[in-house]
This record gives sequence, C-alpha cells and structure tokens, in this order.
Amino acid sequence: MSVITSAFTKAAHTRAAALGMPGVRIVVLPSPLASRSVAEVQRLAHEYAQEIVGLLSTS
Amino acid sequence: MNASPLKSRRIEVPDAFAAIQDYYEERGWTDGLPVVPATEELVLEMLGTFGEDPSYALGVIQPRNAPVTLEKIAVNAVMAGCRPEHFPVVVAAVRAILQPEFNVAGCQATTGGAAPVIIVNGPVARQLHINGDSGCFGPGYRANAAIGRALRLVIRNVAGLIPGEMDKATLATPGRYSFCFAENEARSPWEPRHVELGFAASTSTVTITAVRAVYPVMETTVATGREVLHTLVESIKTVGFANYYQIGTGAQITLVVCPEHAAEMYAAGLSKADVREYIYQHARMPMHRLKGIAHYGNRNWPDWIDENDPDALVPVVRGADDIVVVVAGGDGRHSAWLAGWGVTRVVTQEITATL
Repeated sequence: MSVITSAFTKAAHTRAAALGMPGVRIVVLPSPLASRSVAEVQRLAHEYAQEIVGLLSTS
Repeated sequence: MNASPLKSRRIEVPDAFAAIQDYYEERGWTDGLPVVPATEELVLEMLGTFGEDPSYALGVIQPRNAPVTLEKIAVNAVMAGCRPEHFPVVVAAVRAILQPEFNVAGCQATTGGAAPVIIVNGPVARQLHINGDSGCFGPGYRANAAIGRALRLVIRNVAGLIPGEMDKATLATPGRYSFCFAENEARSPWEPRHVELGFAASTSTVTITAVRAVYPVMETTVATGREVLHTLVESIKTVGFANYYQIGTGAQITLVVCPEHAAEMYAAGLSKADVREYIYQHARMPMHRLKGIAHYGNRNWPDWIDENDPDALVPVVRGADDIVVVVAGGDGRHSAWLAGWGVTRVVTQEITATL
C-alpha cells in the first residue's frame, strides 16, 4: 500500500499501473501538508492511522 | 511479410504537415513544439550509423518501468531533429540517465522540476558543432538543440514523465526543452572534465546533471582570479537556495566559468581542483540565516553540522568533489553556476560509435 497526498493521486495510479499493480491500495491525504501546523498534521495522522494500519494488516 | 527490423507500431495519417503534427500532439508525444515525423526511413537512417540490433534495450527506465530500446531512442531522436551522427551522443546521454545514481524517476518527477543538462567533452563536440562558445546555453545550433531535445523526449515518451501526471514539477524550467552544451576546451586553461576523470583526451563523453536553474554571475570589475572567485562565492550564498538543505542527499552544483574568468583564475595559480576547494570552503551560510526558513523543514544535514550553534557554517555541498567545474561561453565576463537537485548525482558516460 501507499500513502500520498491528493496532489499525487494521478501519479500514484499511473506508477502503480506501470509496476503491474493497478489495484494497489492507496490512502490519499489532503494536500498540501507542508503549510499545516504540527498540531494539524498530528490530527491528520491520528485520523488516518487506523485506516493505514487496517490496510497493512489485511491482504 | 515485413522484413523491417523495427518493432514500432506503424501509423498512417494524411500526408499533410498539420495532420501529422496534430496526431503527435493529440497523443501527447511532443514537448509542445512540432516534431519531425518518425518515418521508418528516418528511424532506420538514425540507427544506421550505430550498427546494433534496434530491439536491444539499454535498460529499464522509471517511472514507467519500460525498456529503453535503441529503436525507441532513435524514434525520439528523429522527432527531436537529430542528424544520424548525433545518435551516439543521444545514446550515451540515455545510458547516463539510466545509471541508478542519476535517479531519473526521482529527479524528473519531483516538484523541484530539474532539467537534465548535457555537457559534452572531447573531439565529438567539435566534429558535431556542439556549441561551447558564445551563447552556448541559448539557441542557434542544431546539435545542441536536437540532442538535448531528444533526451527530453525519451524522458517524456519512454520514461512516461508527463507534466501533471508522473512529472509533478511545480514550475520546471525552460531548460527542459533542451539544455546541451560543450565545454570550451579550446579556450580553457585547464584540463577538460573528461580528462580530469581519467578519460583520454581523444575520448568523448557526456556529463549529465539535473539542474534547477542557471544563476549568472557578472564580474566585470575585479581583475584577479581570486577576486572573481570571491564574487562567485557571494552569489552562491543565496537565501532560499535549496542546495544548502540538500547536502545530505548529495546535491551538487556545476560551475560554468567563462574563458576570461578562467584565464584570470589560472593566472592566479588556481587549478580546477583549487576552484572547487575554494568554493567548498567559502560558499557557506551561517546557521542563523538558514534555520526555520526555505527547505529547513526537510533538511538533511550530516551530524557534524551543529544546529544549535547559530554561527555554524553550512557548506553548499558536502565535499569539494561535489562541485563540477567546466569552462564554457565566449567573450565577456559572465560565468554561471547551475543549481543541482538532491537525491541525484552527476553522471559521466563515454560516447561510443557502437555499444
């Protein structure tokens, strides 16, 4: 699986297809991240952590 | 039965300039400018001087994960306007960007938007009229324009780096259309780059570096080589210049010294190695000017840089050898330095008539 921000959605799917993994699971975070405060990024991390762990834990 | 050695799909379009160009453009195969139609005859002519199997792949290029065959390189070289005699240079350039340390997928996909700059050394530059003299960064020479463009078209059409798709450059640079020049060996007081690296003077090479921008340095006032170097150093010490934050990922810079400046440095007793060392030692920024701004959030500094010392000096590269020095340009007192990107390294590849 892969974690990206929304700015890279098309690039991620194109790259996945190129590598023969069109169905790879991609978690899309909002973009941009760089301009957010540390607190905002931490909130996002908590928000998405469960989904990411879940995808990593299942086949 | 088709006896052609070419494997590419044949496409028929109306024999009209506009129809052919529209076809290429609609499929996203161009850099925006009209291209030379890659007919079978022209592709075979491009390959002809090389004498190799067109299906031979130099490697697999990322991010499309596609084999780079001589045939595909020849198709793009034709489209770019290359003459057949340019083809070995284009092939060498492609071999260079396929080296893992160049990291073509990384440096050409990232938001930084660096252009692959080709620097040609050796007799081939003269034989093919690759300009390294007046105006060598600009237009006017078919070899410079077409060879650089061919590499760019390979990156677009074979590697799949299309802007807005897998190429995520925020701005990119006009150098991505084409950026190829020769070292001006005839007017250099120093050994050319390929000889520095251990190649014979009779050998020809391409050096490829991923460059974000050209920073010109006009020094028309001082008269000694060391003073010229001082002005260059002061130019490099620029707030917001990403290389200060990217030394941990191997960002390099290329110093292009104009012949007049080079002559003065040489007269001051400076070798190319001395120039590299001087820049490494002096083009340093104090921590307090770098901290908390620009690319600081993603800095990658080695442990010996003390971030708690506001006066600690951060070098522009991690070692003197991370500065490429070449002589190029014509009359006048304008040198330049080219800002490299991180997570990519300068690669030099020999140009050969066959593989």
